[in-house]
Amino acid sequence: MAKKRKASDASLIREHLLAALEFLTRSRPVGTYAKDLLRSCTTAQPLLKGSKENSWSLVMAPWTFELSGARYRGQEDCIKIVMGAEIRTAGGRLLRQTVPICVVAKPRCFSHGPPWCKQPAGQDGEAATRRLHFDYDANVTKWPKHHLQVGGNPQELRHAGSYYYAVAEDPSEPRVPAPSLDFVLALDLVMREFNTGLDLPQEPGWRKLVVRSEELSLKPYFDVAHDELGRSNREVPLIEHLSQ
Amino acid sequence: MTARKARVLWIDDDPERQKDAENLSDEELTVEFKCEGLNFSAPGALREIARYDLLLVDYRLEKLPDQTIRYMGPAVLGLLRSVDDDTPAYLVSAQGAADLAKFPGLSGFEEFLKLAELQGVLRMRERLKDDVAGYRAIAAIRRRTNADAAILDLLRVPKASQPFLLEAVPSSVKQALVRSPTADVASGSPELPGRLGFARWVRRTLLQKAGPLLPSLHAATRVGMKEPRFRETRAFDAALYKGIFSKSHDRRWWAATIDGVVLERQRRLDLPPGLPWELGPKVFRLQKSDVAKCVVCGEAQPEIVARDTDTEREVPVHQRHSTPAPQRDFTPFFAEERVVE
Repeated sequence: MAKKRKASDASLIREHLLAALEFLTRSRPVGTYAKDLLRSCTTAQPLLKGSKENSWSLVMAPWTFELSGARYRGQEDCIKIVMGAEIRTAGGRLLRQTVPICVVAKPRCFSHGPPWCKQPAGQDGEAATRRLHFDYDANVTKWPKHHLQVGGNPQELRHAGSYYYAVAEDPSEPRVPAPSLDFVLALDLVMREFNTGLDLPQEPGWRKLVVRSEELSLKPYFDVAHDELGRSNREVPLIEHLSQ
Repeated sequence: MTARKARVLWIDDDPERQKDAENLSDEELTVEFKCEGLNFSAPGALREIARYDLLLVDYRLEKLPDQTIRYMGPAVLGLLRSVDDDTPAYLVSAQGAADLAKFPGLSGFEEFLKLAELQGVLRMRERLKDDVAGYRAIAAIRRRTNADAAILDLLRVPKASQPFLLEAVPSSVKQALVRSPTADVASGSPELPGRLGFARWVRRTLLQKAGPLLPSLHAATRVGMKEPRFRETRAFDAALYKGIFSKSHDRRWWAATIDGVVLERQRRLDLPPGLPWELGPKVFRLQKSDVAKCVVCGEAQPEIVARDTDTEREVPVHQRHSTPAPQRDFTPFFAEERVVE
């Protein structure tokens, strides 16, 4: 009897992403209150469906959540979250994954401390006050392959809105060693922390997808970290180990 | 077997309109005209009217002879709905659509037609036949049949677009299609139950708003083309809407099927993957003059269509040059209405 071949990482991620896109394109809350995300998912779905199982790339058109009020203290001036996702695989392996998130605030002054100026110099429009992204890059060795970064290239999300970047693009450091949240986990995080009007984190179908993402994205990372930290006679710091 | 002749009744208080009705008739369509001899309170009169496939009702019927009561079009429809839920009625008036506010009771009608439109014989004749065919197709749906299958058949949905369409149909409309019509039709609700409710959803929502189906400017922009070039190409014929009521509106295209056409060409040409508005100009080898441009910055690849609040026209723009319309509706699975910044 022929032995069943183990599915590659790329194939498992693809299958999972297709399930997530299927869920989101059929979700009534998304179809009603997050039409931008719906559009991004409906254009991404056929792209991924038609791709090869072990070598595929996906660039999702950035999407914007219009926030409906503050969920937690300090979010009063936040009006939008802009997100995107880009993934590249080849030969069955995940090569690169980046999920950027921008937090956009109402026009305000960033030059002076409170009380804020009423006439902010140089910018009177909406501004990205936080920009972070979760990266996985199989090819880097200078820093952890999985990392969380503040700042970074604003062009990635430029399609989604024209707002002032109150976050400097550089320096790109530090790259904080952290499990790189995939599209589902990053979306889940945003829905939990901001008032997007979407209650998907409580929906059983969505929770299943989150758990699957944790298995695919988080578990391998924590397994590596756990095994390395549990090894006796360690000489290589974890941050270097995670860069290899 | 030839299709049963379509029967339309035109109720008007101006006898001059009789010749317009006669002009519309041909071997497949009869437009009967009634001005004299109408007595809505006579026994069986309303049921007789309900036997037509479609009614054209003038708004002002004050000069209707032989009436002890002076009626208006909406009142006649109200009377009809007391005995019949399924017969569609279109309101007719010599006045233009800009005066819609002058027509209370309009919501009970399926359509508003200007007299001048009805006098455009060739176009209107085909449209009335197509509309009657659509209403008959809906009426032929067997009760307790599978609603999804019936809808896909009525709308002739290509495979790639089926899941998106089925999500977009409200469940109340879907279920009403295969249930017995209820008596609540005269409520004027946009989601009125019964088979007429399904027709209304198709005509007022599916064929009006950008969503699973796209009007030509939206469809062209989605694939990075200027609208005239898009209208010329035959490449998207498989995505063209050919379902019920397709002649009542300008042409529409299935969004997911359009994407499929672009992606199929991308794979055939072995180009790197991308979004439809990025790939369109490449896979169709468009000349610069045929590539869609953003009206704000003049650059290529506008992803969406938004309303210019100065001209009230829809124009292609980059998403970043637009904002959600303040008075937008939130119909699930239809595109967000946006305005140019």
